[in-house]
Amino acid sequence: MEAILVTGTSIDQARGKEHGKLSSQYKASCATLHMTEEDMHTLGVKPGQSVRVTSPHGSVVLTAVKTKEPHAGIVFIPTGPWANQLTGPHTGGTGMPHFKGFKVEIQPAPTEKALDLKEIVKISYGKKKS
Amino acid sequence: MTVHTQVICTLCGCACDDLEITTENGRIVKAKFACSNAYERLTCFQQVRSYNPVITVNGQRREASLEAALSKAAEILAAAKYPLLYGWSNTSSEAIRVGIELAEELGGVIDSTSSVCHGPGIEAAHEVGESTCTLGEVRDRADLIIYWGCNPTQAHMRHMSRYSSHSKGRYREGRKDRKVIMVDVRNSLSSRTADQLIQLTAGKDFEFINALRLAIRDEALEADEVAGVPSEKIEELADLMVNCEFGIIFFGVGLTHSSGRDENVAAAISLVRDLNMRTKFLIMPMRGHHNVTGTNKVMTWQTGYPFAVDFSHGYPRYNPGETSAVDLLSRGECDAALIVASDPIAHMPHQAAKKLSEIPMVLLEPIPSATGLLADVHIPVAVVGIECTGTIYRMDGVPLLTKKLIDPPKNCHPDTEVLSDLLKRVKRLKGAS
Repeated sequence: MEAILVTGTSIDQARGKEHGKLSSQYKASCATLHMTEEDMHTLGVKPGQSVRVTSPHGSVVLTAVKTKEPHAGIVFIPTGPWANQLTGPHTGGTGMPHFKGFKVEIQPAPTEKALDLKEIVKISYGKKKS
Repeated sequence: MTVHTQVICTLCGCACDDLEITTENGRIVKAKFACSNAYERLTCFQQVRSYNPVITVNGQRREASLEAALSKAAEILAAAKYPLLYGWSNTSSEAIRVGIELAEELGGVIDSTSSVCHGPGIEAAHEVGESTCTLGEVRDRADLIIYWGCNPTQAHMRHMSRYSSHSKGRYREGRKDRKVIMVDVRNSLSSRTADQLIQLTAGKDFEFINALRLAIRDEALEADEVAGVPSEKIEELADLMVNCEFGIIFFGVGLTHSSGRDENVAAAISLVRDLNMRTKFLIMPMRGHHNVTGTNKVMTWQTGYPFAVDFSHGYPRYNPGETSAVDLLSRGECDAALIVASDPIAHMPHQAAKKLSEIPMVLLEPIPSATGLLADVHIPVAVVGIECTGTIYRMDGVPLLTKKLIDPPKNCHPDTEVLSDLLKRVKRLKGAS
């Protein structure tokens, strides 16, 4: 399904990072896709199951979380390295990338699971091999 | 056991100055009046902080002496042609001042995290000015409070109780004397505390603000709805704004992170300007990190520009989009980086973060992070407001001198001292070349 993605601060992400960026609390709070029950039903996933989110800039596997507030069609990922696998670097001459309000494609990913921070860093970043 | 009173919190831009912290044997054992986010920081950071410098040699990370780490950091920076000095929002204004001198000495660029939070709001203020105030004035006088594109109950947890809707001021008794409106694309937890939520279609803030400007000028709206909001509701909001005695818009990165960016904020400031023809109205950004406002203040009084300051020509230049961190990194223009009090690998779009990870990188940061995993040199430093003192600027631009509560670990010194040492070493190396 297609949805509009908003990334930003959440209370769990803010608390999770204080336990250390390498902690399980940080991953549990950030490697998540928050969506309504209605959207979950459309997608055919339940809370705690894996979903793959894809934007024009990248793709990432996250754990689905049911939100309490009704905003069907809008999904949320807490700020962090998981969310930023999807954001683009273009700033439109302002210095500011586009962190909120862009289209993403979401699919169930029953055979995959969210990577932890060390795995993301190892796969996505690092010095060029000479 | 020591009880420290009137402690200034160094978590978010609220910089609450009423915390009561109890310390015993060099540890924080109690944190009274702290919000839950600050409580986690104060009680957890000693368990997770780094204690010794780490350097990367032949691809292997290993602990090193402070002397060896400083020496390698100075070599990396002195050898660079166009380094980026980035972060700064979680350190003291005194440290930022030394960082600016270092950027000038290196002929590099200094940019703060404001370029990925409220930078567009600053660009908007260049264009149309700004009508603002201190948080104390809001507490004493505001009868209409509009939170726009932000989630204060989660990101600035005591903002409402100390400075706005729920606070008791000189001329306002508290929540019952104030009207609170939430404007957002999400129905977040904060909207439960508001009298009304106005939920916009994502990316349509600019259109909605301009419709509101028309309504405030008593001009008819031809469309039935704008940004998913019926015209009658826009006119009701316009009436509420015009008829208040003292109104304020607190805006978050919902305006600066979405389509329109600086133009969204310029439109919001223009809306406030229009409202001042009819009543008293103000606007203020909800700044995130405790001294992100300080980065803009210090850079402005040192260089004339608030962020993204380029010294490569031998004098300060400023051109967001060209000299801002994400753009410089995405284009692969920088050949080394000094990151201070920030985690750009986690918080920048991954194409920009990937380019950062490919160049030599020095990090000054108290805790392990994604950036720390990739830094060639990681020097853990003292935490401002806990392990060392330093000046920070609250979100409304009020400077506050923070307190030292406990001693930092042996190898962890304040950013100001580490940066001053690095500056001396860089000058020596560049003088010798």
